Amino acid sequence: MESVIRGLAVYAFLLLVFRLAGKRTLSETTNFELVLLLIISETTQQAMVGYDQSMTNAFLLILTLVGCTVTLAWFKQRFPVWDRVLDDIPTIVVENGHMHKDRMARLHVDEGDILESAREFQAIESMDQIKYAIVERNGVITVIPKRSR
Amino acid sequence: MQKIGDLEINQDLNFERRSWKVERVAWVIAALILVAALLGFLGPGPLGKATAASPDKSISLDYYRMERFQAPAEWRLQIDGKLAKQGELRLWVHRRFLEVIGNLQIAPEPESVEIQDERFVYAFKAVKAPPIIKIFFRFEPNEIGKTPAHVGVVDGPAVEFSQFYLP
Repeated sequence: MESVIRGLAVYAFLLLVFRLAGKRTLSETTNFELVLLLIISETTQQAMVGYDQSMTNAFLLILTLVGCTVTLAWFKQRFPVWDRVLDDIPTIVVENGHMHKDRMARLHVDEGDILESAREFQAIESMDQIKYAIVERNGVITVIPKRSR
Repeated sequence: MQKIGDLEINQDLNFERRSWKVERVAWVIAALILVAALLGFLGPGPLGKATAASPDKSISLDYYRMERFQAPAEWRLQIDGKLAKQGELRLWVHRRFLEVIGNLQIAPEPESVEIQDERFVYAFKAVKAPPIIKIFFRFEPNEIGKTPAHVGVVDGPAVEFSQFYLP
């Protein structure tokens, strides 16, 4: 019973923390963020497993975590409002070369981040070539160029 | 699906604004939790230290009010050397405490352990007892919640206190 409770508690806590951290947090894996993710996974693993390193415990934890994911997926599909609450929604930060600075500030996105995505994925040189830049639910910045249509 | 310009997108700025407000409040709460942890309200820390003493002050026990499940914890006992009788100090601990902990280590190691009713009696050799005898109990809580503890010297004073073991 303890394994399942530990798994549920860790799953709920991680879901809450990463949702409240905002969609841009850890969305781009820099070297430091990769190390941070590894530390978080190691810390989580110790709290979940405790002293019990049996296969039964491991199986129960895996079942708990996968079960949570499947249940939440079903829940989000059935109640779309929970899809927004749990997974957030996309936000347009650039429209026809105009930056929505208030949205960018709240999402911790600056002009450099948008131009970096524009260069990386669309070979765009400047802001006025961008039709739309969108911060997606997973924090990735999608750029749609003006010349694409 | 909502359409903004040529873009079909599920954007909802009102929902976003509410989310941002919730995020801000959540991070203030998170900061407060971290401050509480640093101060010792969520485990060992400067404001979490406490001392339980017998009415005549011949036994005192330093402990933290909050400890954590399966994490190392410690009691530091200071006992008046005069309580050692015939070259021996006989210290008892109530059974309830021993039921909720694991990996108990006592330093110095007792010579013997006896079970007397609801108490475990630990006997320490103290031929030339110093004015203050220091004994350390190191353990790991195996239960969550408030745990009463009762420790004393056989036919002598005792201290009673409680600790909270966090998940």
